[in-house]
Amino acid sequence: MRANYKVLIIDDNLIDQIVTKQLLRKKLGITEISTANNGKEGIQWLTNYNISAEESLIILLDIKMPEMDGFEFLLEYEMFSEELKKKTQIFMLSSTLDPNDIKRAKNSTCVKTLLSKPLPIKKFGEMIYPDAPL
Amino acid sequence: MTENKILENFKRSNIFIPLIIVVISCSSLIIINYLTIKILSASRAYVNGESHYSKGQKDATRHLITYLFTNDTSQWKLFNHELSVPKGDKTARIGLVNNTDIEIVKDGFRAGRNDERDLDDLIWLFKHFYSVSFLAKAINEWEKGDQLIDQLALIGNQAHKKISTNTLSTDEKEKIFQQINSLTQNLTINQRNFSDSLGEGTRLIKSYLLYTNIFFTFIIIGSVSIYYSLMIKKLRSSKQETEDKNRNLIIVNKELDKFVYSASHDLRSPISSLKGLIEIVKLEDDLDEIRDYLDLMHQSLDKQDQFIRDIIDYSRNKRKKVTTASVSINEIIDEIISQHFYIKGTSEITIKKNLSVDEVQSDGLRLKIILNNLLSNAIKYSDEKKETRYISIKTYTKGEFYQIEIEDNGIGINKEYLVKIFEMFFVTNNSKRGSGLGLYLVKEAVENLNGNITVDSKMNIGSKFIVTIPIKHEGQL
Repeated sequence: MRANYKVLIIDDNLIDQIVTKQLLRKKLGITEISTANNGKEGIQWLTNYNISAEESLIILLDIKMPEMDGFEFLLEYEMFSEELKKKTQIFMLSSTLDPNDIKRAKNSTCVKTLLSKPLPIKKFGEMIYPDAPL
Repeated sequence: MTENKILENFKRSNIFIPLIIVVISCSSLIIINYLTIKILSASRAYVNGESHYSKGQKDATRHLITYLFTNDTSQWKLFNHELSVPKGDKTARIGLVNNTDIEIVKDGFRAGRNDERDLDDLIWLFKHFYSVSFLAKAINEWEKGDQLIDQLALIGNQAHKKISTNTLSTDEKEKIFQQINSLTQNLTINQRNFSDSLGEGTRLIKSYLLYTNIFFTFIIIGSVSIYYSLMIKKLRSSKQETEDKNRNLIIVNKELDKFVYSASHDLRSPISSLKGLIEIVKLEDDLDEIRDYLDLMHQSLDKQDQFIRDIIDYSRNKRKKVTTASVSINEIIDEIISQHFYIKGTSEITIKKNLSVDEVQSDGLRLKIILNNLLSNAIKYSDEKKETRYISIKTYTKGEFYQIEIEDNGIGINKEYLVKIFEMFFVTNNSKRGSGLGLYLVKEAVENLNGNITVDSKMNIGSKFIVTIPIKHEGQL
C-alpha cells in the first residue's frame, strides 16, 4: 500500500519547477503538486493549507532564493503546529557546493536530507516508499 | 605622479635633516673644543714663560746689586746669564712680529726657558690671536717689559764699565741702586699686567666654551629627539598601513570565498536544469512538449552564457587599469541596442536619445559595462502591459561633471529593494532571475571612473538611473 503524498516545490527557478514536477508525475505518479517561488510564498501556502488525516506532505526546498531563502523558511517552519510537522517531510534540493550550506542542511533537525539537482528520482522514490520500491 | 615623488623625496629628506644637524653640531663641537683646549694650553705656556721671565729678571737684578756692592765678577756673569732669559723671550717676540725664521723664534723661547713641547703652541697662539684684545694687551705689556729689560742691561753695562775701571763712586752706586729698584718695580707691574691679561682672556674663553658646549648639546638633543619622534611616527604609520592592508585582505578573501560559492552555484544551476530537462525529455513522447523543453534548454544556456559574460566583465573591471581615450557614448548605445534586438519585444520599445554630450575622454570598457547593464535591464524589465514602452537616454554636463540619465516606463523596483540592488548577487523575486551581478558591476565601473550612480523608481511606473562622472578624469592630470 503506497502512502498518499502531496508535494510542495519551493524553488525560484521556473525551469527547475517544471523539471521536478514532471519527474514526480511521470516517474512516481504523484499528481498533487503545488509550487511556491520562494520561502515566503511557501510559508503562505502552508498557512492556508489544512492537512487531512490520511495525507502526508513532502516539501522540496531550494536554498538560494530571493526574499526568503531555504534556511529562513526552515526557521519560520518551526513555528507550525506539531500535527503538521509530524505529517511533513522536508527534502532540500539545491545545486549548492557551499560547505556551509551542506553543513547547515545536515544539522537541521526537520530536514530529511539534502539532494542535489536535478531531483535523483530513483533515490527519492526509495526514500519515500521504503516498502514498495519502483 | 611626479608631484608624489617630489613629496616623497621631501619627506625622506625631512628625516635626514635632524641627522645632518647632529653630525654638523658634533663636528663643530669637537673642533671648537680642540681649538679652545689649544688656546688655553698656549695661554698656560705663556703664563709659565712669564714666570721664567720674571724669575730671570729678578735673579739678574739681585746679582747686579750684589755685584754693585761686592764687585765680585762671578756675580756679573750670573747677572748676564739670568738676563739672557728675558732677552731670549724678547728675541722670540721680535721674531714673531717681524715674521722671521721660525727656528730663531724657537731659539729665543728656548733661551726663555720655555718647555720644548710648548714652543709650537706659543708660536701658534701668537700668530693667530695676535690682534685679539687680551693677547694684544699682554704683548703690549711684554714689549714695555722688554724695554725696561734693555734699560736694565744698559745700567748693568755702565756699572760694569765703571767697576772694572774702579771709577764708581759711592754716590753713583747709590744712584744706580735707586734706578735698578725703580726699574724692577715697573717691571713687576708689567709682568703682573701680562699675567692678568692672559688670565682674563682664558676665563673669558672658558665661559664662551661653556656656553657653546651647552648650545650645541641642546641642538644635538633637540635634533635627536626630532629624529626619534619622526621615526616613531613613521613606524606607527607603517604599522597602521599594514593593519589596514591586512583588514582589506581579510575582506577581499571573504568576498572571494562568497564570490566563488555564489558563482559556482550560479554556473551549476543552469547545468542542473539542463540535466533535469534532458531527464524529462526522455520520458516525453509528445513532440510539442519536447519542443517546449528545448526552448527551456535554450533559456538555461542563455542564462549561463550571460552569467559567464558578467563574470568576465567583473574580472576585467577588477583587474584592468582605467585607461582614457576618446569614446563616443552614442556609438556605444547603438552597439548595445543592436545586440539586444534578438530579445523578444525589443523592437516594440521606443528608444529616445537626447545626447548633448557624446565624445568624452573616458574608459571605454567601463562605459560599455555601465550602459550595457542599464540598457539591458531597461529592456528586460519593460512592462508588457503598457501600450507604449519607451527607454529615454539623456546626456548633459553639470558643472565639472557629465551625467547619463536612463529612464524607462518598465515594471519598476520595489522601494524596499532600492538600497540593495547594487549589492553583489542580490536578486529580486521575478520571473527573469538575473545573476545579481549586473548592477554590482555598474556600480564598480562607475566608481572606477570616480563617479556615482543614483536610482529613482516606482513600482509599475518606471525607473530612472543617473550616472554622474567627472569630465576631467584623474588619469588625465
